[in-house]
Amino acid sequence: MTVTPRDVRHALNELGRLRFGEMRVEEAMHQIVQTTHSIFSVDGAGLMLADAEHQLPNAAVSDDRVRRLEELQTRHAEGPCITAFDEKVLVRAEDLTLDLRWPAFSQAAVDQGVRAVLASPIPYNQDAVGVVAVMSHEAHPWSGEAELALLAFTDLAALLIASMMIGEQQTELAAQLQSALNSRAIIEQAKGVLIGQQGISAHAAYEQIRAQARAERRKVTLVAAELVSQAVRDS
Amino acid sequence: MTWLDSPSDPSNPAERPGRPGRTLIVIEVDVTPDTITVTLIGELDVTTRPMLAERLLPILSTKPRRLVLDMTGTDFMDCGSARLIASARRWLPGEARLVVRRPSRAVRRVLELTGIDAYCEIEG
Repeated sequence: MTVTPRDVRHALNELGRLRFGEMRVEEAMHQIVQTTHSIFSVDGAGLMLADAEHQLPNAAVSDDRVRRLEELQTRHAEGPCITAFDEKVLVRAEDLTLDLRWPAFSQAAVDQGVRAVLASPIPYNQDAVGVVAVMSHEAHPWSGEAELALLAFTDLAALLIASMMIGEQQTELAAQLQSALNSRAIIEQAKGVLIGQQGISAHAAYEQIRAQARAERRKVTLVAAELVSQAVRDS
Repeated sequence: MTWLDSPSDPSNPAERPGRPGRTLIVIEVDVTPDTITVTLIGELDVTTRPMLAERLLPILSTKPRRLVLDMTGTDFMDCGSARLIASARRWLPGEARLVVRRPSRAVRRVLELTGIDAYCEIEG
């Protein structure tokens, strides 16, 4: 399956007709997902947006399989979308049967017939606020052009979010994103504290916060806030 | 836009976006409510220009008020890529601002020699 530049241009022209600000943002996101789905002729496409708990609930999906994919990642607390979101990089899982990065997720995904996932973080204010992802039942399904197309669609999602945040639309989604951005800030601070105290990497710092939250069955943001206030007291 | 029809060549490293060590250019986009920043790390030439074009097209279609091209990490830019930046200016609304941030001396020279510095603000 190939994505040609002509397909991409056509899809972008279609999406260009989205009247930013005039359309409900949920509808516009749904449209982006549908277009992504049709242009990639993949088995599913989805758009996930962060919430205050640093989770990635679906905002729009092309079908139920994508919904299950997200559930799998949440349940196993790992997966390509979570990595794309945490590290703010494009993540390619070209063959999950051979992928060692997310052992529990990969096994469960393959059992459900998902072989490959491509996940692109949605950039907003030097952060990631969500992920656009596509999945396939085949291994190695995507060309470099397809990746570029997915990046372009992700940019569009980011632009849509920006127009929503400045608009007057006080929707539930806008509130969710605002609290996600706020909680992201506190998590970043807590990571900074751990990096300073222990000289570990940003990734290790985040894993440590998440592990503590899991072990204590508390919210990630609460653990992070506590680390920051502890560091302020100790200084 | 014709540059989107450039033939695909999978052996061309520029057609493998975002893959460290195999790409000539990495394009990062950041969005805030008032500014879109496109960071260009690597080389802009005839092989990487289509990638920039494809990333810019959807961005331009949303008519941003301020578009910043951060060229701090741009080692090389050819005249065609400079013309692409000039055509991006024409796509923007009249009152919008196009900023080229921290171009190297070599990149700045191309912008000046092609007269394209007249279409944009050079910052830093």
